[in-house]
Amino acid sequence: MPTSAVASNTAQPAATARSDDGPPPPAPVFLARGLTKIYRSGDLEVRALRELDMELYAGELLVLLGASGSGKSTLLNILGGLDTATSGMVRFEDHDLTSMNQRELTQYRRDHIGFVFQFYNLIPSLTARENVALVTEIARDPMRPDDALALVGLGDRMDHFPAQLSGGEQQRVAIARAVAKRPDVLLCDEPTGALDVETGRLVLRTIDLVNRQLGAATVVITHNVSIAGMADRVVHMTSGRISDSYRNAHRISAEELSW
Amino acid sequence: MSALTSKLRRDLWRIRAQVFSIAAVMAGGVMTVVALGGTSSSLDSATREYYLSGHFADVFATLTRAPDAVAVRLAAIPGVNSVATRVVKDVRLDVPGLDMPAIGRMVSLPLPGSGGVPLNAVHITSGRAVLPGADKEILVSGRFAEANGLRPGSLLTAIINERYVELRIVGIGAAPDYLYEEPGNAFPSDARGFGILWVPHELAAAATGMRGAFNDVSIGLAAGARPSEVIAAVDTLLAPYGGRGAIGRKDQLSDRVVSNELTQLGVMAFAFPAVFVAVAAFLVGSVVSRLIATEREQIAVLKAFGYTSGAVGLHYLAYAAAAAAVGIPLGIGVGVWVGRLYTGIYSDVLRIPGLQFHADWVTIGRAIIVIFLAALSGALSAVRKVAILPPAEALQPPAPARYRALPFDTIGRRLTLSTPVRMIIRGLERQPRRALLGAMGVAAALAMMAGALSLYDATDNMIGLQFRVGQRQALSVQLVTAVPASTRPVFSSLPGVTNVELVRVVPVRLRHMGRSRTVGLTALERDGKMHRLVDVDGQIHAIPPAGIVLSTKVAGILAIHTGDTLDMDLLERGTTRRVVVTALLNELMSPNAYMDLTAAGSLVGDGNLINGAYLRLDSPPRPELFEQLRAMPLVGGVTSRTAMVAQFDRMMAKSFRISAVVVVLFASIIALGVVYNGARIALSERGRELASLRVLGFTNREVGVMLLGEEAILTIAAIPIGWVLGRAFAAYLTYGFTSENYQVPIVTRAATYAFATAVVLSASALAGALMYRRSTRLDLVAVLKTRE
Ligand SMILES: Nc1ncnc2c1ncn2[C@@H]1O[C@H](COP(=O)(O)OP(=O)(O)OP(=O)(O)O)[C@@H](O)[C@H]1O
Ligand SMILES: [Mg+2]
Repeated sequence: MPTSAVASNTAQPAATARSDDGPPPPAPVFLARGLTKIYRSGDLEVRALRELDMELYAGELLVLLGASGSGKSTLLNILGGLDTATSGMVRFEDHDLTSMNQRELTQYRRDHIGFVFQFYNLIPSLTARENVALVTEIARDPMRPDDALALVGLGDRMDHFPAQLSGGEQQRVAIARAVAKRPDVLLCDEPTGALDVETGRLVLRTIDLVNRQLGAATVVITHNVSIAGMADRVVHMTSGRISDSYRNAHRISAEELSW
Repeated sequence: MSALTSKLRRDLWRIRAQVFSIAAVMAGGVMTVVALGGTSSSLDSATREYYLSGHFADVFATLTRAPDAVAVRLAAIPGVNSVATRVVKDVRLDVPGLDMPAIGRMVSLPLPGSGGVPLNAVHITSGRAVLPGADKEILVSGRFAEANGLRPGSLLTAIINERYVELRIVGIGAAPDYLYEEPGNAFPSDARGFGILWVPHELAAAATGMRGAFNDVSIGLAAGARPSEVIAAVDTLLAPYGGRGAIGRKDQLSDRVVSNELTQLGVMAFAFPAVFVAVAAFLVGSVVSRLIATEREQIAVLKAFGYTSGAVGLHYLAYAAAAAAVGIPLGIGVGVWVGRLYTGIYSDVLRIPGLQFHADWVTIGRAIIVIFLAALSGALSAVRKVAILPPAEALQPPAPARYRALPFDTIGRRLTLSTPVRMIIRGLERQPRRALLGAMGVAAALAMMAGALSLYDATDNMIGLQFRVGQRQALSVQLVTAVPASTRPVFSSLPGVTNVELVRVVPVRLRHMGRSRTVGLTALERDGKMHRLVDVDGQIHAIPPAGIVLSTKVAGILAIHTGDTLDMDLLERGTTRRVVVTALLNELMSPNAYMDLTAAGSLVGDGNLINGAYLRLDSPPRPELFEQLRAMPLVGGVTSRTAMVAQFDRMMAKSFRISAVVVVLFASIIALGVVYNGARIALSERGRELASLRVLGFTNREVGVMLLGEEAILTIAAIPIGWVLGRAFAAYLTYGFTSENYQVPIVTRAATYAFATAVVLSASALAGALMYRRSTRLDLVAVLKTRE
């Protein structure tokens, strides 16, 4: 399928993106078509995603908004290779995620994806540095764990265990862990959900910084509409579909966000 | 059904594998108590009852010959209640279908109408009693009859006074003084080759020339009499008649063998259940405390809604009770089955009428209480936490586990350990007590198996030393009377015989400083190659040209040392010699005394006499050989070492098969239970962490390593501990097997330990594999939605 066709398919054509920067739109990192996810338990059926189409471009920071239950996490998990779609197609670069088995999905996550979750999911028995090292040890071209922690501003807390860090600090360790392998894609599901405003802002700034410095395509799920200002592109989901998608003409920095 | 009961039911079903693994360990404990304790009490009570009904005597004495009138004087000894005199003599038998000449111990039956207490009464298990006046009718003992296929109606030929006499078996009997049918040592010989013949008094008296006389006496004591005083009086009285020294029950061969078996069973019935109980308590404790840790919030809610601490606490104790409720009946069932098998083995060796396996309900009841208490004590400390947990606090997540950088980290950094390995080590460091107990659990499984199986190695070693190093003759020939050593050619010319060594056994009483001991003095050829003096380490000792060699046991009894001189009463001659102790021998089977054959001849002063010969053969014994031996009236009996060893090996193999299956099964259950529960708990504690790792791109295999790494390290660490404990366990068990008559040195055989290790590792690996499979099914998405 030609890229131009994909681009013309979206509500807000990518061609208008970054028009001031000059270069033509790159090929999408992710391309999803007709993505459907149905959860079945007994005779109960929940359609979490319905024939969803989307794409994500290299280097782009995308904010995903939507009501609770609209399918944001489901989408992110499928993109990240944690879950598989019931039908439809997802491509990552030239890999077809829908045809991958568990083993290939694991390898895919290992090679390309960085995750940040609402509840940090750090390993309690490992220090900040070791939590990061955990990932760099299995990555192909990682940063040094110390550099990754310096990048998120935790250069001086590297030998602390999660229990000795605040929530925001833990989340930044999680971000360092996610980016230390220089992922192609950074997927963040409500990264500020468990944090206060100030700490949340710090975490978002870190994500912003990482996105700019490393150029990883980034998806941030949030319930906070005001965060949308820091995105290149904002996507709204409603009942398992993309209901709206637009580009910010000007992407503002995390400090400038107000909520 | 209350809501709490429904919760219990569902949760029990959810963790059924864990509950069952604990139940299985408890079942092991109950099984060993039921089987070993039941066998022990069945043996004990059957023996006691039989001793009562069969009037088992209290004091026994053998002598050369005393007139019947002496019996009256014996009866007059204070404390003596009843006296029964007999004539006992070993005669040679030709058994139909058996080419080897056998030995029959002819024991006279009381004269009809002799009155008094019928001491050591013969119980007829099949056939009928000997009719009064019938002088060629006999009863034979059960083991001998069975081994030779003899039934009431069968005929036997005995050589009595150098004449062949045909005897008719009219019944199969048993008697309390011959529960164990052996000629004279604690070692089971070939069952076909030795039997007890109860014969009419007249026949025995005629055969031995003992009309109006006796050579064996049994004494029943009055209540409250002191055996030692009676024994001393009997010895004094019988000394002029060649008394061999009276003995009490504890020295009587048959009773001694029974009590040794009971001691062994007692040791085992304590040692095995102890292992199971300890492991069960540990498992219950760790499973219940984990359950409580995961259900803090539920506990808080229950309490918040007004459930009492007691009700909630009971709810968790119910898990332990559920395991016990499954384990105990299972253990009883298996225990009864194993107990029957064990008792079956005993009844092959010990002919106790009415010996049957009975589950001993008192012991079982005690076992149930102990298992129950163990389960409760395991659960109790965890459950106490429930009781003291304030509801509000329980709603908070537990304080996060505090990990510290431990000394190991400094080393770890230097070794540049990978992060997963560090996680594993920190996990162990964080819960050292649990780690240690887990390792001990696996070690206990290994130890139990290695120890129990080592017992068979020890027995094997003992047999090897005794019969492959010490006594290497193919056949031993006992002569009915002492003959000059010059008869050697009679034996060396027999068909197939390549070598002959002569032996003489002289009954003597050794005395030193007021102590005494009756033994058979074995006089051997000094340069003999067949019967050699071998010590517990397998070392062979030469027989000194002069003086006597004593077992260390005998030396201990006599308080004598090398170089001391002792008095030796020659019981058959009624004279005494002085002889120097030239060496002590720490041997497996005792008590014994040895001398050089020639030296013994000149000491006794009757020239160079012998009463036995060892034969070495060029091939398995040929029928002609036995034919010629049977034709020699001089020959009192022949025993075959190979047949003896083969029979012993068969018996051990049978017992080994049962024990090995049981021990391997239950050791596997313990190892499986410990490792499975350890990994299961780790998975429940760390499921979230492991799912996170999967999210980060770790493969199932890598996550499996992190999950099972701790268990693997514990299992590996447990192995050397298990070896050490196994040796200690073997030492404890063999201690139960050591008696006055034989010692069983512990043997540590690499193959046995390797086998036990392999079984434990396999069981652990199986548990690990089950857990690994479970870990591959972690729900990655679910874990990300929830806070811990
Ligand atoms: N394992 C599951 N089984 C059944 N239904 C599920 C499952 N996971 C999600 N759903 C349903 O799928 C729909 C989408 O869920 P999803 O978690 O993607 O929503 P979301 O947009 O992330 O919501 P929130 O903002 O609350 O996190 C919801 O209706 C949810 O109930
Ligand atoms: Mg969500």
